[in-house]
Amino acid sequence: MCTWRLDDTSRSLNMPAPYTHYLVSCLLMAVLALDYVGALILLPLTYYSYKAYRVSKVGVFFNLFLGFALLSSGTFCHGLSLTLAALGRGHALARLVAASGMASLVTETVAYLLIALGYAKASRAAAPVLLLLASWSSPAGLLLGVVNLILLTFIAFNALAVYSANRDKSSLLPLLAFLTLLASQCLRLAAVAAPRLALASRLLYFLGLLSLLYLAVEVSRGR
Amino acid sequence: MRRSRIRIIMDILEVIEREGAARLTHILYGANLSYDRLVRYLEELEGKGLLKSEMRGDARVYRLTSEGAKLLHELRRVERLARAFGVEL
Repeated sequence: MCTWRLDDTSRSLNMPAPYTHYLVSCLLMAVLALDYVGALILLPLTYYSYKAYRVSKVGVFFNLFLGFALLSSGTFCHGLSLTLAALGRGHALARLVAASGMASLVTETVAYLLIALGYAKASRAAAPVLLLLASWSSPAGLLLGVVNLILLTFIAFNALAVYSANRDKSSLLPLLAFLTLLASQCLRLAAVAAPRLALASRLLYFLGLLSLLYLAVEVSRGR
Repeated sequence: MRRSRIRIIMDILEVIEREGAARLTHILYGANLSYDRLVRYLEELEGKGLLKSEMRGDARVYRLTSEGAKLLHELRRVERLARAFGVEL
């Protein structure tokens, strides 16, 4: 969620308000673009996971399909909340912005949970996920951020284990993607204290999605 | 390690694709299956329109239909995705 305040930014950058307003608008547009393109980037992998499930009936692919579909929706919701925030002020709008921002966070958490369960199924290690499920109890944004961090750490460890086992280029791509998403989540939490880190967080998130897009291209490629 | 059904079907389709028109004995060695199991799989795949068979001289040969080639293409995608996420097929 965008936590910048124009006055804070003006003071911290030591710039007159109109310039700061322009700068914030530019940053907002950049984050918006990253979000909407990011949501689209996830669609090919979502499609291939679904097709893989239809063909093989292997449950892990269904987890991946739902996980990537929700991650795409969450990224879209994030962009939507920023778009609504940019539209103007007003009580109803503020509520809508807060709701879509929270929806994006919850969707992301559920997406990471599904992907983590998928990895747990693939590696037959369900116990760590059950421990993670225990921490899934409060709707507060910060807590969700921490839950996402734990889930991403679990996913990244599993991706590392898969890569260590087969040393294959195709399994290096999910590892890179989830490590980048993990770094993005760390920055997102740090952005609570330093709001300017929010852009860097979204940029890293976008880079993670690009790795997943590259994976989708690799999967679709013929022999 | 025991092969899954999807892996066996993929092995059969790959042998037939490689040969173009494959005799039963070639598929037998290529897919590493017993005669009885292979015949059951071939009947099933032919019944689903993924393979077609014809007599060539005194031997029966199997070819992929366009549906079979499409399924093999899909299975290869599934295999690549499975490898990326450490899923065993």
